[in-house]
Amino acid sequence: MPSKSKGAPKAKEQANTGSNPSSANPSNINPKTINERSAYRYEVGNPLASKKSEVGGVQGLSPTERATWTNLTYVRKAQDQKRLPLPNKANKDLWKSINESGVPLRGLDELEGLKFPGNKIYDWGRDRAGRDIGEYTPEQFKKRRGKRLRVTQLEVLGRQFQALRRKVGGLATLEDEEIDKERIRREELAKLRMELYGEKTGTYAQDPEWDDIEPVAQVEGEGALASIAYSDDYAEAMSYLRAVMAKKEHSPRCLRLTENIILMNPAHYTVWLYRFSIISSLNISIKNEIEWLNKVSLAHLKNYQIWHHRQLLLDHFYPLFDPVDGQPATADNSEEVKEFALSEMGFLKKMLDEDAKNYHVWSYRQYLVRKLGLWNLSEEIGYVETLILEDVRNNSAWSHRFFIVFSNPAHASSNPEIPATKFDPKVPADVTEREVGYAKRKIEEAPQNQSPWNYLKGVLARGGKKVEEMEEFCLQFVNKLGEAEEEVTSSHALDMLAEAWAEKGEKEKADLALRRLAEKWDRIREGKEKGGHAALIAPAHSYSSATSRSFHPPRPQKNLHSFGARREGRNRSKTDGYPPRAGDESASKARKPGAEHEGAQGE
Amino acid sequence: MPSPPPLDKKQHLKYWTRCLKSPLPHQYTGNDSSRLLLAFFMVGGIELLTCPSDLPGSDSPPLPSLITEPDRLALREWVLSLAHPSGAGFAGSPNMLPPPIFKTADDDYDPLTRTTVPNSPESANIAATFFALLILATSSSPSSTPTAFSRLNRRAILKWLKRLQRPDGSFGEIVSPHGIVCGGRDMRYCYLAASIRWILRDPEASPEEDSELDFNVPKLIEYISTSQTFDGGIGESGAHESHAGYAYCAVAALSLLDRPADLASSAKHESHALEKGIQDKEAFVKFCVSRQFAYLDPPSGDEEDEEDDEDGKWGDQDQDNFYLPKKLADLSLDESLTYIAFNGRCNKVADTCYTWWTGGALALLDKLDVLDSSKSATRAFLMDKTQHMVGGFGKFAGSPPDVYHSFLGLAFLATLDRTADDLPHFDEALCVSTATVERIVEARKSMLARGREVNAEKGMSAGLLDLAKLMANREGQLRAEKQQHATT
Repeated sequence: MPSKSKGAPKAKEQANTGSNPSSANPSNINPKTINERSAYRYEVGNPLASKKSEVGGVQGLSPTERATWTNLTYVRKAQDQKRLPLPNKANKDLWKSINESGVPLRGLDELEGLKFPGNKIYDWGRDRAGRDIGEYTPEQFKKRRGKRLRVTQLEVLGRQFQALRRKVGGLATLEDEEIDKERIRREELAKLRMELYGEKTGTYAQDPEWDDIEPVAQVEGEGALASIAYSDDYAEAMSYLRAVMAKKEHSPRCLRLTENIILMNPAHYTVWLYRFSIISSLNISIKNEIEWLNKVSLAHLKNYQIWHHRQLLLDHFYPLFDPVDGQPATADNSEEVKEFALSEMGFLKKMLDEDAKNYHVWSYRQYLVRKLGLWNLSEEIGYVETLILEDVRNNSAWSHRFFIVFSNPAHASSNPEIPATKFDPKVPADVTEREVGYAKRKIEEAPQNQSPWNYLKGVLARGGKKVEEMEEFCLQFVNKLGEAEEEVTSSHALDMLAEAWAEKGEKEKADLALRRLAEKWDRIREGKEKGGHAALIAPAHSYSSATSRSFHPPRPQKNLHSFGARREGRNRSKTDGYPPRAGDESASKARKPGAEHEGAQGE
Repeated sequence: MPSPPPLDKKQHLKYWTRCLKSPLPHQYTGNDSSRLLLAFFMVGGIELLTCPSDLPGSDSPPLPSLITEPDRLALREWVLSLAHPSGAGFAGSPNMLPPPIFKTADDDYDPLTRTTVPNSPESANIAATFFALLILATSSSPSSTPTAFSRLNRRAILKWLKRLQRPDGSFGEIVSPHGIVCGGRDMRYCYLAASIRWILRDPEASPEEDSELDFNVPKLIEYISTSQTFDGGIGESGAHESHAGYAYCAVAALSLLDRPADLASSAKHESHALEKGIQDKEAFVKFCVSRQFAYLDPPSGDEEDEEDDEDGKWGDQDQDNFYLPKKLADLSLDESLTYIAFNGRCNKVADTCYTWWTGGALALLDKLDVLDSSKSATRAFLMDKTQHMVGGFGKFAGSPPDVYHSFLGLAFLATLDRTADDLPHFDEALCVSTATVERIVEARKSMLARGREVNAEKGMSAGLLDLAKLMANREGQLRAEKQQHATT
């Protein structure tokens, strides 16, 4: 309708000047909130609405008012819908009547009763904090509207960017400047969306580099157990990972994605494999990857996958070391290998400085020794000795020593491999001697420390030596067995003596040793106190009822080697109801100086 | 000192309720790949606590299980949803599963290994597969047990398992898209492989089927038998440091390799594999009993270090909570043996789970009696020291409880002396209640019976088809003959 634009302001003006006094109160002219403003506008636009509901409907209005109301309703519909073409005359009459009644032509649609809670005309919705946007001041509202406009603007620019990208044929051909601009726009967009709607836009969703990837979200089933409240970052990164893994994409961006996920969940078993395949297909140098791994390893000391990845890397890259005279390259024949080995060992030292018993690090170290042939590397033996010097009870170091000495191909049968507990004729006698001597020295430092005793026993078995050869050595720690002044500074010595005597056929002595272990010395093992700090490792050991039974009737000789013969201990007092001999004289003696603690203190 | 009162099962169930109902905090993100493991511990822990008592004289009704029938069904659907699209194994969590687009994609042919590789085979993980099978059995109800395994692709899982074995007999945890076995040479995978095999293998399999589906058992025994270390224990592999957890895995794997398929009772079979695989049994047992030591309380005021280190961590034991008395004179011999704890390696600290790994290994060797005299002091350690007031067990004395140690603490109590705490019979090889093993046997039986039926049907329909073809041929011949007659 041509007269619409002219009529409206005029009508509004008239309305303001008093055709509807009830809505003309000053607070509504200067509304404090958007809801108030809406209410005001509604009333201005529908001057008869409140009266109509006061008087109970159209029928209650005066005839003039009723005519006005009808015309108004009619003309609004007519002009809105551009329907109902009227003959000229009727049209003229209609407009005349409207003009005379002075009602505004434009306004909010009249409502059949107020639909929204709190008698609101319109529901503006809530903002991210849950606040009713209708309760915003007009100032705040204007600001919000500005932000929304900005969102639209940024989206339009974003679409232009995508169009440009399609046109030039991909991201690679776009100017860096364009991409950077888009990045900045998306950052702003993400910020605005967060402010306006509390919507989080993930890091990847914001990055134009990832536009072509449709993330695959995790579907958590209904009966899912052990659900984890993943962080948004992890969930987003995973959804992108699943998408690129499905495409088998091997690219630098995927490498970065694996890094991000590994930092959040280093135990993710497939991402490591995926990373490995990316590294191999991108031909990334082992050095770079290892440098990166070092950082991750130090941050996740207990992780298992990291070490497996390192092994895979080495398996993959080892063949790149040139063979020497047709032989595989080892630290013995190749400086290159030796250099690499030393740099690896340098890093492993850092790891073991954090935790000298880290199982995965030791496992990898063994792998490395085998792979690179580090058997004769003086640094390797030297390092183990240093660790044992620092802590004579570091069983991991003892275990590694056994490995480098006795798994050394020069000292060990390989076909078939002989189990570690069995005699291997290939072990040179001088090696056995050397290791027996080493173990003995370490035992003397700390007689009650089980690690070197186990080692000694292992060396004897491997080297085919008899335990009885150790009798004299063990007797250092056992004095006047069975007598009143009995003194034992190492239960392990007594244990070995029992075995030695049994080996020699000295049944009674062996019996006595086992009995004393059971009654007393292996009930509790103890170190000695020194410097206000006492060391105590106290294996309650094994106290089988079978053993205690065997103590009463004389035990047949052959049992000495059976498991039952070793079961010594406390159950005698427990099962037989004997009180433990807490105040036993020799027990308190035994708690006096032994060399245990000096050793444990690292000299 | 009086023995601690029986386990407060109600309190422990409360702990499990919490685990079941609320999502784990985001700090558990590192366990995303092992959600089936966490889920199994929840289901298995609840099952142990709600089994009806079979002790003479006990007439108290069992505690109600927290898992309702609809929960069981939903749980089963969830577990099955984690199966690899090819049917070969399970993924550890929904996040590890290949995206749905793989579900329709064809398998890849790998020219290197000349095998057909299912798409993204690395999603299936050996540990996840073992725990999926255990959950399916544990959470089945009497009516659903026969169908607990009905939707498994048994053949695909066994074939995949076979591919996880290396030439040296050891197992990996996943197989790469190129058919490479990944994961360290690790005794745990050997154990998981032996368990999965026992659960799914057809005891009446023909030699042909075995050669297609069964892995190389003698090779695995050989692999384990070369792994014993100089001190009698067993490590992760080869010459690695001996460790109670790996030692258990080796023994349990061996015992499962020749265990009769229907042996669900707590009776032990005579295992030749075990005999052969543990070269020096005496030294092995000595290694196990050497894991025990007298646990001493830290002197008060020295606890800060402990607090710093152990919060929220589990699965390893490298921090030192190993308290040594300042003065030996402060201790009487009597007190020092009040608590007996277990460590995993020589000269390491006490940890709840090593009671189980050691006790379980000894039980499998039928040598549990060596712990008889220390039983009450060991139980006292768990009950007084690592049991938590909110229920469950922690890793160390005073640690907050976690699902792993809470389950394994129960496992140990059920193994050591189940009557003391009114726990059900426990199967040390599969680490579940004997009742669950019975379910596994039943579920396997009906799965195999159905498989045979299907095969028979296939066979029958093939026979019918042949017959029909034969008849059609004969008819054609007759018609041809007739026509010949007619023309001549």
